[in-house]
Amino acid sequence: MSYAAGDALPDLVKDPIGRVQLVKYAGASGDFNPLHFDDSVAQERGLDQVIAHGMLSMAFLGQAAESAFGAGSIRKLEVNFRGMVRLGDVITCRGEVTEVREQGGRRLAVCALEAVNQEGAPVTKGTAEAWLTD
Amino acid sequence: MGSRITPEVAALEGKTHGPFRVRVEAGAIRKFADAIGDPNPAYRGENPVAPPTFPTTFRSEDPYPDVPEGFGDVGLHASQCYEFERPLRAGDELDVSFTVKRVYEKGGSSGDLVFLEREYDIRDARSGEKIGGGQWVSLRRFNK
Repeated sequence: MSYAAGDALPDLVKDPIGRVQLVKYAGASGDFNPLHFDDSVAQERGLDQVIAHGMLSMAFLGQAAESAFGAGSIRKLEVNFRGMVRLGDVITCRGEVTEVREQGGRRLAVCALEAVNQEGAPVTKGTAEAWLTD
Repeated sequence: MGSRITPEVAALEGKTHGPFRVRVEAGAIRKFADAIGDPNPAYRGENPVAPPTFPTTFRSEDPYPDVPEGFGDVGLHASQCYEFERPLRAGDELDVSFTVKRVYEKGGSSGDLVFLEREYDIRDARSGEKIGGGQWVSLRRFNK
């Protein structure tokens, strides 16, 4: 579809965060910080259990943006990490197009993105710029 | 109160990690998409494009410039950015590096924060052409 300023991206509701996903993400990303797979390390940090990699929630926002605009469409993806993602959390990614502009003869959509948990608390917020193909 | 930034940490500014060579592989892209739980078929098959956060997989075995062990009480990832001139694809050969652009501090409600801002440079290994970049900002908190 064609996007214009003010349009919402389809919400992306992810499966609850599980340990297997964190182990897979550690392996696939190469981030082996034990905070994400070893409860005893998490407990030393005052947490009950492991927490998710921040980069996983950024990846969810990338998924939301590229499923809306097409794989390979992202020119820029920028996020701030706001809160922890815990086991069992259900993350929803939302986005809204804030601007569509011409750049180098192509159309670029600028979007505000956020990933929130099941309580509605933002865990990651950011912006994406994606090339429009239609 | 004085600065939390020690001479050793201040000296990180301007230090570059790499460049190191990365070959983008279809299998690595698929496993990364699987781990995210992203079913997009464009990340699979013979000639996939890479999801936008795929450069997080670009790691070298050499230690990268960072604050010393035990600096601050808590380490956190503050923000991350990736930019692309074109999508990365399986088969790309890349030279990847990052440089510590800035070390700075701020007072926070939960303690003093020291930020390390690193900037990426992702180039086509054959042509030397820049095809990506971005920023990685980490912080260390000194609890109140």
